[in-house]
Amino acid sequence: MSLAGLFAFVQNLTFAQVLAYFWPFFLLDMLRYVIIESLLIFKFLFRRKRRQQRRALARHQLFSERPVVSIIVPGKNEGKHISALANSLSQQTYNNFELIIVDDGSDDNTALICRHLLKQGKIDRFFRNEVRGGKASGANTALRFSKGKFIIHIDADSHLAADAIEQILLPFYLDETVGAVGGDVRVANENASFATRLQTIEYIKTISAGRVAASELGILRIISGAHGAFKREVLEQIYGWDVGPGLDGDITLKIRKLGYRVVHAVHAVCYTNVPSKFSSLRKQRYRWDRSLVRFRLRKHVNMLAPASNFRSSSFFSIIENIVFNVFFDFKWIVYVIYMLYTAPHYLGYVFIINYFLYFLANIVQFIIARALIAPSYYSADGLTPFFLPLMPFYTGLYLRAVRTYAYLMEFLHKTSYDDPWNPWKVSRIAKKEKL
Amino acid sequence: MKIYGITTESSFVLPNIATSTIESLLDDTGTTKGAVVHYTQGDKGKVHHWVQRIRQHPHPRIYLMPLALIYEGEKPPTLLQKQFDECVSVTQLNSASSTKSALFERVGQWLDRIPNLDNNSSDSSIPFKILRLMASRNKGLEPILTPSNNRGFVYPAIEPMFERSDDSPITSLDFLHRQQFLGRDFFKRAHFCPICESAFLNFIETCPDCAAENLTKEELVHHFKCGHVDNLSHFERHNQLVCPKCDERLKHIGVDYDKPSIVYQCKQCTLQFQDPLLKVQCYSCESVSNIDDVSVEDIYVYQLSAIGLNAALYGLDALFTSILQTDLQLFSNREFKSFIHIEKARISRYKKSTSCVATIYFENLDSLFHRLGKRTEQLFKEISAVFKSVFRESDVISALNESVFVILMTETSEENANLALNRLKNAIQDLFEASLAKELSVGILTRVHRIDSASDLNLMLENALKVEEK
Repeated sequence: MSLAGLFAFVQNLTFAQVLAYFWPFFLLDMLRYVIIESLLIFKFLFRRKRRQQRRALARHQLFSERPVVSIIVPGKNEGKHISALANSLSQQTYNNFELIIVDDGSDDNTALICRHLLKQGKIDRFFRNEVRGGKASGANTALRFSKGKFIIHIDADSHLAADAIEQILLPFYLDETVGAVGGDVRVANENASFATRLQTIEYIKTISAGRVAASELGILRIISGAHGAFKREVLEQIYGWDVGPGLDGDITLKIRKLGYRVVHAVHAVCYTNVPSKFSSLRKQRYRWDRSLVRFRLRKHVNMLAPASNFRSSSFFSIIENIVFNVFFDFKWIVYVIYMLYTAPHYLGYVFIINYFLYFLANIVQFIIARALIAPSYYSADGLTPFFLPLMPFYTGLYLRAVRTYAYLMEFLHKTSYDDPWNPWKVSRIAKKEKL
Repeated sequence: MKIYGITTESSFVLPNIATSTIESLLDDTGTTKGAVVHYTQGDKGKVHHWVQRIRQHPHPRIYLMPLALIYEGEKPPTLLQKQFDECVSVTQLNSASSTKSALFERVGQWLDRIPNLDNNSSDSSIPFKILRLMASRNKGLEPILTPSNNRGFVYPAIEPMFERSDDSPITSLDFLHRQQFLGRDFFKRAHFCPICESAFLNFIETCPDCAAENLTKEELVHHFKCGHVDNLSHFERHNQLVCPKCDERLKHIGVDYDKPSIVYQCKQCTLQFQDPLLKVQCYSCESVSNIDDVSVEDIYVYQLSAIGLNAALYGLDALFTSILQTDLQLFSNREFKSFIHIEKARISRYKKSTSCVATIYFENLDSLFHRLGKRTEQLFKEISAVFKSVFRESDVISALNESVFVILMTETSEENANLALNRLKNAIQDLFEASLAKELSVGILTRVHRIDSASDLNLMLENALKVEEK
């Protein structure tokens, strides 16, 4: 294998051979993530430009109505983050909100810190559950005591851009059928480590660009727990959150089932701290990926059935999710076996060319995503794009390996029910009831 | 209601003793050994008044007089009972009388030990009277809780010594404790109004928003299966708990649901919250304060210390210094400083003389009181005699405090001064051995400073205290 050999191999490739050797890239990934996604983003940008006047009107409506917004922050042992979060909220352009903190059975000084902040008036309401009940019960406790017309759920360790609340509320005023709006989540600790650099690119690609595309297509299936807004009446209809993990995706599906639109507000920016070590990143993704199997393929599989509440967009949302995430995840196993069988001598060349193609695709995706978020983009040092060449390794090998393992474990052992993320008493019931 | 003055040391079986009047009782400082009050219901005020008159009398024989309360039928109030040394029902009188007379005897004997007690003796200091009352009974002072006093507790035994019912007894006891005459043990911790110090407080939970007091309290329920959280009342349906979200019946707490917390609802402004604002209203002055402003104080039980026991006999001045005072004529600190000043001037003028200042520090003098009790006085007298034999008429002695003495030894070299101090040490050491007190670890530390124009008394005293610290 040599450089000359590689060039010779590329020159001699016929169109049929290109398709035969690189079908996963050209037929699936490029088509799905580069071409279709780019077209959808262009459509979004074009429509946004056209709807500028409507947006101004919606903004005017929001500020003249000034509805109370409840910002709910459930969590365990998150006391240390609350003060910074409250400070970031005090800078908001929209300020008619109440900040509700729910301490879900913390065993550190969270309650002490929060009671102090409550006295200082930095937070508006504080509730403590002496016994831990899990994230869903914490969010539901906050919902129970909230008064706002809109409920914004954010994670304690994140902070919002100054216009984030305003931006996340606008879609409700642009379209009455919107039941929930996902906020954009970006990486706060971009320059903390190698792992956070790669996650920064990943978040811009998959959350900022990916969710705008999904939203344009009407198949957005997740609203991040770190930053999401809901109409109160919608949450009341579905009685809040169900038991997690993966409760953000779950509640989005329930809202879709009710017939509401779910959209992504790309300029409602929330900065969150991502794992700075690959080991903790692995654990986080392992949890996230398992929930896909649990919720899409177990709990909400009925959305695929042609029942009375059947909606084609919901159907496609789930199908797209299952196909691209679950089935296509296993395609690389098929691909490797297929290549071993058809062209065992060219494996090295095929790998190098594949890597190069995915690298190019990443560059295109990044440029388009970067253009999309340009008005609200902030970077610590501008060095992150230099990490793009490593992205095929990161998404193609590292994340894929974690995901495949997570799917297998969940399929075979339902391990998500043993996750310490929920208290054992809750997981036990969830497993028994097949939730 | 009658009062009987007891003049004999025999038992006080009622028919055998003669009725007296309170006036004749108060006038008789010579023969009356005690008094018995025959209590009939409704005479509470009068009895208290009599006890007050007796306990407020300046003569030790009167105010220390043992008092017994005899009642028929219903027991008198506790507060009144405790003002007396004894309280006996008429029916139990015969069996109780011998122990009562023993008490009377003990008080009599203790009074006999007071030096120079005559018909004209008069104690005006209330703290001192408290010490004497405690010492004569050999009893501690216990508070009782009562609604009759603003502070919510009184020391009934000493209460009649005071004209009015305020916090003077507590102030006096605190003073005696600070002077180490009384030791104390924790009895109870109590909350007092920050404005008027009343103990009668109403603790109120109020709404943090509108300060209303009308709150309801309800438990929160968390249904594990669907994650629903709501007030308990929202789960109640036909005497069962049913989840309003998933319609499932809740069966076992801890298994399929739990109650993670409690919420309050304000009936006035409907706010729901978990931490009501705790306020305190005083029943006396009606002021409302925050819970953090309420003063929290400890209430104590007091006992007489060994020092207090001696002070009760000989006065509040320190026993040792008072003995030295009479035997040696101690100079005050100010006078002593003047002597040093003069001596310094004299030495620097004539440049012939050598004088020294000696400091003597007695370690653990307190332990002597504890070990020797009443024999301490004798020992101190003997130590005082040693001081007298060692030091000359021309030496000037002053006490810095009870344990540190400074002596100006005029026309004495350092060598001679040290010799004299060693003599003093040995003599006192012998004294301890003779008094069977050699096991006592009373150390005597001495130091000699030569006086010259640069001598600084403060520095010397400081050095003496440094020795003390070591």
